[in-house]
Amino acid sequence: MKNEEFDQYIQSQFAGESIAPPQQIEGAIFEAIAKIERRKKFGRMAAGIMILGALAYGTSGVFSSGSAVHKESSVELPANTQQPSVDGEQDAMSLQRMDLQEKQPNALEDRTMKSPTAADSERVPPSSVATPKIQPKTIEPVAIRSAQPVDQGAHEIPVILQDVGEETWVLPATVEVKE
Amino acid sequence: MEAAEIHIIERCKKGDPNAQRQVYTRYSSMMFAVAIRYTNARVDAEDVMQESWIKVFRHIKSFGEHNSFEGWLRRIVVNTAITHYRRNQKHTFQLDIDEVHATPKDFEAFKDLDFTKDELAKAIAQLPKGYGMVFKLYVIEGFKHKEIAEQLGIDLNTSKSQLSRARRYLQDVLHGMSQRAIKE
Repeated sequence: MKNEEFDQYIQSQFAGESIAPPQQIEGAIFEAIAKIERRKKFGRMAAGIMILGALAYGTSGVFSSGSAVHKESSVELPANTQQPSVDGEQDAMSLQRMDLQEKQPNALEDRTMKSPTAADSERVPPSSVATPKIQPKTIEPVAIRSAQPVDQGAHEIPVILQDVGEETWVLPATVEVKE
Repeated sequence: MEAAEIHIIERCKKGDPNAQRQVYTRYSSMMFAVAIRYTNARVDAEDVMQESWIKVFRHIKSFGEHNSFEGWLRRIVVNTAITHYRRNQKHTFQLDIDEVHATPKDFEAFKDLDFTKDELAKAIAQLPKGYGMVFKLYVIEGFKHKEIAEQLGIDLNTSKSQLSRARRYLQDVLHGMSQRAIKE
């Protein structure tokens, strides 16, 4: 008997061999498969939620930035509200305003009479122009000055304000716009 | 492949649990027989079986209808058994194949002998691990030496020499069995 014949003999003996597996294997196999399927579904759901979340975050970011621009340009802030702003120029402007109203009630009228230059219109925020109902006596200027952080760009303003008592025109030739 | 079988496979591809059960019922005995052949303990065979079926249902989408489904299943269980074998090889003592002294005998002696499948299975099970694995893959599964070498991570010539030694060793075992049968 040659090798090939011997091999064929062995192969023929094992062809179509079958042994019944124990019953409990079936349960274990399908339980494992079901577990894998569940894990897959959960993974898909989690991925979907993450994608939706990312999309929602992205779109809300776009909308909120758009609405922020919109607000900045259109919404008129209440005149007597102290903005929690870091813009020293704006704070200084409001201080100027209060001083003016305290010392010279007609100062604002005088100012509005003047035709503003292009530079002025850039520097003066719209909220600070429309301030008809300010109650100057309710807020003490000294206290406000100490509470508000003033930037370097606006540092010269208090000096100017000290001189304001003699002049009606105060606005902003020396005020620098902080970038 | 039969149309009914194709249909069941298609349902399995869609994840139909009933179709999966049908496929399991149809082929589990064949799969378990293969798993037992490549493992020493029944417990190991059960592990190989479970692992193989999970692979089957996870990768059934990659099965092409033009191939033999049974051949594909058999291949999966054999590959899983090889992985199991290689994994266990690291933790078990391996008999050095050079220490096994095979006694070459002429296959002519077995010309008229008729061994049962169980006797052959017992004789094959007595082969040293390395011999046995190469012999079963080459003779029963029809693998080529190149494939065997790749699967087992051995040299091509090692595969050839192990097959040769396995044949001689098996011949010796069968000869001993036939001698005992004659005496009885």
